[in-house]
Amino acid sequence: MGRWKWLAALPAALLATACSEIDCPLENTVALNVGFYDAAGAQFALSDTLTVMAAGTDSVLFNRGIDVTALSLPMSMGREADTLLLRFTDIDGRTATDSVIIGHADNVHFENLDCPPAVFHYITSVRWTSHDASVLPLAVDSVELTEPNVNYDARENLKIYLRTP
Amino acid sequence: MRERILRYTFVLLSLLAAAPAVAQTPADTTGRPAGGRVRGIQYVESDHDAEAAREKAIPLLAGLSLSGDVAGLVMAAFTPYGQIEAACRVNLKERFFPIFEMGWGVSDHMDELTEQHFKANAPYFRIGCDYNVANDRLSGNRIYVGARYAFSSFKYDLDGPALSDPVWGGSVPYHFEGVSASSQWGELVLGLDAKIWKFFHLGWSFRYRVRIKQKRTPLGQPWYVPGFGKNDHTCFGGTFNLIFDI
Repeated sequence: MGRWKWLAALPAALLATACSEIDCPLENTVALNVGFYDAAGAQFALSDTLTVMAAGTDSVLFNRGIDVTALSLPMSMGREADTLLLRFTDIDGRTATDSVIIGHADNVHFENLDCPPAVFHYITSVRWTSHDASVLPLAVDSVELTEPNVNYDARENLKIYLRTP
Repeated sequence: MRERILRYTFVLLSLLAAAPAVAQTPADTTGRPAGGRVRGIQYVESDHDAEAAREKAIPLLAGLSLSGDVAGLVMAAFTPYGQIEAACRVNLKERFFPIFEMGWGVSDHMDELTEQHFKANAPYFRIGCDYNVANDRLSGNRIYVGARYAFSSFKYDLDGPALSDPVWGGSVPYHFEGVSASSQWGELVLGLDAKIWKFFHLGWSFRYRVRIKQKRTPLGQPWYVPGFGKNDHTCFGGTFNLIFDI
């Protein structure tokens, strides 16, 4: 009987019950993933220098990239639409800018008390502008929405098809 | 040659002479089969028979008990979450113990680093059965293995500092009240009860919890589920029970 009593009382010291920890996800960046393609649908490395700016702000999201095939860009947390300004500059210093306007709905995402919260996005619409070929041959031709959910999954969200020289 | 013939003849005669001795087994005067025959005084195993008789005499409904979980109270007082839990258990022939558990899970916790605050107060319910694997069922001491199905439907609050957007500017409020959630899970139970005094038992249980289903919300999964613990696919838990037979 004595042994039973000890066995019954023993776990009282151990009953700080613990659950397995939920670690913050390693992939914890929420970004719009964009890929560049030529008219034939093949991935395209930009021959000109590309700079991406956030319209309405003084933020430069991507600065003077060369041979760019894909980009990860931050989306706004509270706006209904983000306007990305894609500025192309060729080797002769000619510059042209196209816009990609992305409408989206946002929702706050909670993962764990230990992890900072994030804002996920759902893309509702995409519009774009194309500059005249006489200004600069390289331009945005069209944009395809491939994955509307912008979250921790690093999937490609937009395919930007380019009018190439 | 002659010598060899004599030798074989001697061996053969010896075997023939021994044959009747082998065949001549003692006559069984009791009429029992020889293998089951007992010599001397045979004692009946009265203790074993008496225990078998006592076990046979255990009624189907051998009792009812109420219990309270002390571990959950301690957790509620000193850790980010805990519960107030009581259980009602039926004793069927000291072997099967159908059980109903209900409790109230509480959590009111703020993370110091991220300054996120989570709050939930809600009931939960479990139903299941334990099986007493102890050989001696009559001692009042029990070793259990069992299983539970559990359910909780609850609302929680979550808030923290507003999320500022360093690139596009502005901020998003981070304040949610009354977010609805529900969860179902199963539990595997290993436990032990010891009879301390007459109708009073002390016991503990160790539990492995596995989520079965959880309602998804746009906000994400709740940090804590009442009765389950810190939210994950699986979780370990336990109880330390004061048990009263009624």
